Amino acid sequence: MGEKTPKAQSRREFVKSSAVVGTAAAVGVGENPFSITTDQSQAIEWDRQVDVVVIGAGAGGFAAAIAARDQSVSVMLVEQNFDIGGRAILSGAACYLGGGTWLQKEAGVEDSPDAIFYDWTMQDDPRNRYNDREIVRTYADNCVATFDFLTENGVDWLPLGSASRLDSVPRRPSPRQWPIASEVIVPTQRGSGLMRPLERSARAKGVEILLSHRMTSFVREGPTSGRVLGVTAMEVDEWYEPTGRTVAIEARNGVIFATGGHSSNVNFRRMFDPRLTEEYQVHGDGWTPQNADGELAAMAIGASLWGTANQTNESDGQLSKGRLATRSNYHGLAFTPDAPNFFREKATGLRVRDWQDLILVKENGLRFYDETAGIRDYQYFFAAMQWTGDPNKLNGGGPIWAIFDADGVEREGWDVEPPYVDPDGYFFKADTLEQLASSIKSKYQWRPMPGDVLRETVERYNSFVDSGVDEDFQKPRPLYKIQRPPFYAAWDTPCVHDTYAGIRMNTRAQVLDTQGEVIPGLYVAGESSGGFGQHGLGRAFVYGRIAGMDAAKNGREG
Amino acid sequence: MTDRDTVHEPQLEIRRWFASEVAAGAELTFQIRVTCPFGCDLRGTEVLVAAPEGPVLTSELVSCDQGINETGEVTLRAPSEVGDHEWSVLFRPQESKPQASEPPPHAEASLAVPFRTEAHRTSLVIWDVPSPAVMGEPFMVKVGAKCAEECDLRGRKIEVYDGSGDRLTTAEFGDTLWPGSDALYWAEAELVAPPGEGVVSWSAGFPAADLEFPHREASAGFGFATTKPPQHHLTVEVVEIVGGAKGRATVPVPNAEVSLGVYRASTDESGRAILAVTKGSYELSIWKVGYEAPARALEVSKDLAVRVEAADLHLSERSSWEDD
Repeated sequence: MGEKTPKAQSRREFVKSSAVVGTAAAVGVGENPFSITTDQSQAIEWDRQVDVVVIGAGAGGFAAAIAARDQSVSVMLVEQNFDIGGRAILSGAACYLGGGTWLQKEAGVEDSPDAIFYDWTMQDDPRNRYNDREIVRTYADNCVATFDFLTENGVDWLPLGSASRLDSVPRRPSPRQWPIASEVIVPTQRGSGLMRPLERSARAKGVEILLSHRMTSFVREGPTSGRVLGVTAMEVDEWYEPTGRTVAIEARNGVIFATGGHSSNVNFRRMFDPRLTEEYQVHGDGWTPQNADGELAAMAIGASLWGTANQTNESDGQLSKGRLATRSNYHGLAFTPDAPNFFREKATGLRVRDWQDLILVKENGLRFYDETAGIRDYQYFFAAMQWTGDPNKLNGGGPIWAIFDADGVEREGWDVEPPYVDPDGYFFKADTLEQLASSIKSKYQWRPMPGDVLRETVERYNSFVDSGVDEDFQKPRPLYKIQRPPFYAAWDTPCVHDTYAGIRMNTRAQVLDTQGEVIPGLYVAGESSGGFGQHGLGRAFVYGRIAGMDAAKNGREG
Repeated sequence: MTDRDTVHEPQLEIRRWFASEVAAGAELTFQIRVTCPFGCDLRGTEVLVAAPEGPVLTSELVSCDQGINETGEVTLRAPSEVGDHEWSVLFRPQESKPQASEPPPHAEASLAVPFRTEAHRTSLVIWDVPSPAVMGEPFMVKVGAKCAEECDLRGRKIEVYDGSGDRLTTAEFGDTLWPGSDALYWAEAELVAPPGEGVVSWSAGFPAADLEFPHREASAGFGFATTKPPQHHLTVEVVEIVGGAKGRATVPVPNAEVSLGVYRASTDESGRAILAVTKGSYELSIWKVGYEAPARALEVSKDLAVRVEAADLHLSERSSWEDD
């Protein structure tokens, strides 16, 4: 096809007759709002035509959109939330971008792409042992250019801090906070200082941003063959429910998806770890969930997963010990009541200052670990996810509840009323321990917590305070009894965070199929991509920029 | 055959019904639904709830949606005796005034509603238990009880037992509820620590009292350590060493928890805590979030002052990556 007639026209006619709509099915947290089914005879009437379509307005998406637009092609950026930013705007915003940046030079830090490559491929740490070294090499070679790109697009950097994670030298710059308070999503996190400048720059350069639209499929010429021609998307309301309006957007050069990963999709994440059943909530889920939309749509047209061992390396940012008393309870993220998404979050949660102030019990009312374990202690998570003895619930460890008393509240200085706590399933109060147990009503607490068990657990723990020795879990010198009414139970189930494995790409960010062949016209960036288990923003910016440039320059060749 | 030629047989259903086991005397709120398979509007017809000894309540069907007729919310009190019960819901259209001038005939219908009433659950709490307590010395604790149905427990008694189950004392609940609670009744009980050293496990019990409704017995345990009378004062100063080779200085660490065996105290602004202890061999340990200090053995045979160096773990700097 396409030899006798102008290419654009022939492609359009082809699409009308036989394009395939790959389906991003079974997504969402519990619900599946998708109704489009795979139908090889379904014709697509494009509502819009642009050169490059980017899905997801986070770090990878903005880098891709701006980099493409810089090549003078038309770009549309599609985002499911009512605002831009993805989870990048919730983050601490430090980016692994070194290799000899001007900021490093200013600080007198010597660095090189070789040093980055070495640091992030060493075999002695599970965070880099399983990385695809080709992906890391290209990342290392493009960090400086990406840092300059972010600087040119308005990101204002703080002086360089200290080395972190696997870095042998300081190479993790952070932006200054965005100065317009009304546009800052999380005041204690500097992510707005990254994403708002990029939003300004993208809009000024002419990137079209389509908010409140959730991508539903990639449209490919054949079921698992030919080019990716565009996307379908549906408009969603502020609860991510479909409004009934849909849009089909042709992407003449290509589609780049940077949809943020799969952590919120219970079925998808359980491909890697069957323990991660529905009770485990996700960082930033009340802002923009990581639904695996991109992964599912890409797999539906033949894309391969890659680097899956990274997802089960049991280290770093996959899980968090959590905040208390709120659903999406990542320990380092507290939305304020004036956050634009607070209607979805409902509570700020309680940050624990001293884990001596409480005990942690499972749904059966039993302790399971030393409560003073670190916030990223994977031995703690293993215990939390251990079977609790119900033959009807074999996977997952069930909810974890922090149990404390009036004295504990006083020591921590907590305000145990809304909006700090969410009494709708995540925070309970009672005069006695038996009543506390029976007051716990949560959709994840599938059977009642036995009150006598909880009371006996507390009595035993209190005896450890008297004796000074935790005979069960070796908590260091248990200090405080839980005895003074009222008593509290606060949600503290481990919180899922990073996605470390996703769709296979090459060093041009092109998506590869299960045969290792390029899917022409489809690119990926950020946490939806596989092969690099790095926490955070660096890899998303680097590969977003690579994808945007490549799609703009070379996208029509494939 | 048309729907007017046959007798309509409605279906009865209880909506928002209580569990099959309820507290004796509890208020039960529900709705009764009468569904006519031919979609008839039965509003104005009465339904009856009856116990074996006679009618308990009648209620009128007040809403209809395509043959689904419902009463408003009905509230009844469950029998105050513990045991198995069966109520009936009866639909007797001929005894009610007709809604239409020539209504189609509706059959009578009945629904058996078996349920069981249980004694009220009470639960206990004991707090402000001093630990350690001095052997042979009196001390006070607070004891409270709460009925799950929030019954009035004023004047009721709670008992305290030793580890062998022997009753040590009885305390009577006062008229005031524990602040912030809507039904926690409480009392103070005076106890005397036993003569030996060690960790003691005692319990409190709430007898199944002769209340308006039957209540279950409840008990809860509590414990404390006992020691000899203190003989010496141990002053513990917790400091942090700051500075490098050129100049080292000590900075007090306030609000650190100092533990010496069963004794415990918090450091003040000067980093000091004073513990009144009996002589003996102990392990001295320090706990403060963000600090680390090794535990050490300590022999106390006179008044003593010790300094403990705690290392700052610089968690605030570490959190720059742990929190992102």
